[in-house]
Amino acid sequence: MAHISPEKLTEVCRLLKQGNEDAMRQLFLETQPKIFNYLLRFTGNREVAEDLTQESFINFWLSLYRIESDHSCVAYLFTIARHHALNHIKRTVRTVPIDEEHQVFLNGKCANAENSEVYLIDDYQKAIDSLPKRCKETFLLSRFSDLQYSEIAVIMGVSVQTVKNQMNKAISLLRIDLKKYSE
Amino acid sequence: MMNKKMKKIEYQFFIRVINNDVSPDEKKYFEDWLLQSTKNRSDYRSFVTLWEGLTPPQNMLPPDSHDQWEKISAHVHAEMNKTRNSEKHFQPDRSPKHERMNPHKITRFFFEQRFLSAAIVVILLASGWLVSNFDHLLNHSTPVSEISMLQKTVEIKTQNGEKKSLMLRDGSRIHLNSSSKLTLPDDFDAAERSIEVEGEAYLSVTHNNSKPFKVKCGNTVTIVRGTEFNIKNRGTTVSVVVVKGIVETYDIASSKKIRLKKGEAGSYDNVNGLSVPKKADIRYALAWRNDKLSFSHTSLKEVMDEVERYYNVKVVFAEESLKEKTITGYFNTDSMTNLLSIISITLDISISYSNGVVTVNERPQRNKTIKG
Repeated sequence: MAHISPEKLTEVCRLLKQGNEDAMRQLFLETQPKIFNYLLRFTGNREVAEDLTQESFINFWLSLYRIESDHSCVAYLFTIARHHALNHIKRTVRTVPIDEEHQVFLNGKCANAENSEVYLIDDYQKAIDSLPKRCKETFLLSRFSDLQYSEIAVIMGVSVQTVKNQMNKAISLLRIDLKKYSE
Repeated sequence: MMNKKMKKIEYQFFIRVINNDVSPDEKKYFEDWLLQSTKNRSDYRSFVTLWEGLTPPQNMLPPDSHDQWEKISAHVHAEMNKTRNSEKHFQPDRSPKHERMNPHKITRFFFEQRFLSAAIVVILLASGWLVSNFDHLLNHSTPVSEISMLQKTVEIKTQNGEKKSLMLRDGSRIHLNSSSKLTLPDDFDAAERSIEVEGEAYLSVTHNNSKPFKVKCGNTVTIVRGTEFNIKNRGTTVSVVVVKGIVETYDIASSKKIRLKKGEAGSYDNVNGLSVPKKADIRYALAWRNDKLSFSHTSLKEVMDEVERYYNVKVVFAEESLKEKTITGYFNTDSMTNLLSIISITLDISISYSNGVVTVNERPQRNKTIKG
């Protein structure tokens, strides 16, 4: 996969602000897999992650005017993706209890290949989902965005120290859950 | 982040190492720290395994980016036109309604200078999760016959006339024919087992139902659970011969697949795609492992490619048309001169050898002795 160099991305972000569509396309191609992976691990559902990825980019594009500096596009993009994910979770919990959703999966349909392609139910996902809510959020941002703790702190609205604590907590918990994978 | 006593390195620092976001000093420090104890090395190793394992598995690849781009672009344009038509200022109303971030905070944040360096780092990192330069240190106590799975990718190459056999951490064995290359990604055996082969290899894969073994070769991917098979990609053709068990070979472009059982062979070429499974001649396919060369209606061009690889010589065709002649047979390889002499007799052509160059030519005249 071709990657954009740092200089190029700075330039891409500058062009973005001027409404350059090609720049938007480049940024999209570069960051779409990360945003998707982030949303997939967040929601555990492939279809949802696909939709949310699309919505996030649409939103990002249409709200570009909010970005004040040339260098903030990736953080802003993840800010939007996070809100989409949170909103989705809120909606899901309200309308369908999560257990029920899992029941659909467990009630025989799991043999159906189509279905198992929708849900991400590997051990890693189980471990992530069992993290405390804020802990999970912080961890996923760090894992998939490459952003620094200071940036994550701003997105989460907490202090850098809190991000550090949450990260340590998340990693310790995941390590216990996923022990068999790391010898 | 790091204390002077080199006791414990925080996860945050590991993440920066994984993302290759460390200064030369920090790098040096980290190398020392790794060398300090087995525990440190295994701490880092298991952290990398955890971090990398979070990448969603292969069946959850991101949606096709070009398709999705079309949808997004169409949507945004429609939205913008709507705004324009209603003669409003460009002020999209699709911004996140649940945007909880204080606008002032956003402004301040995005203005901050440190964000610049952060953004640059972000992009640097985007080019690969694991560009660690510390692999050699991690291999410190690893037997040479084992391949460390911590590297971004491990490459094992063979030159002309050279073969290699190796064992992977999961117990699978790979025999690499000459002039071939094996590439293992850093996350080999994390969620699944995957490798890439260029040239030719014989694989004996350890059975593991929960971790399929994937071999990428040319434009194909072959998926197996536990089996023995030969895979070869010379020129534009990929061929797979199954000795034990079952494999599935996919055409990456069309996602079509063929299922090959013990004793069957399948092939792929760029023009015709995947062939149907047919009965394989295992002895032929595996000849190279017993230091034999085997050909079955093989063009002289391909035969001579093999000779080049096998004996590390250069082959020159004085007459292009000779490349099209075909050969079938099973040859000993102890002597190149013998082999070439048999070929020249069979095809009634002249093959000469001097100074590392084999020259293939028409026979000058009939009824003359064969040059060896």
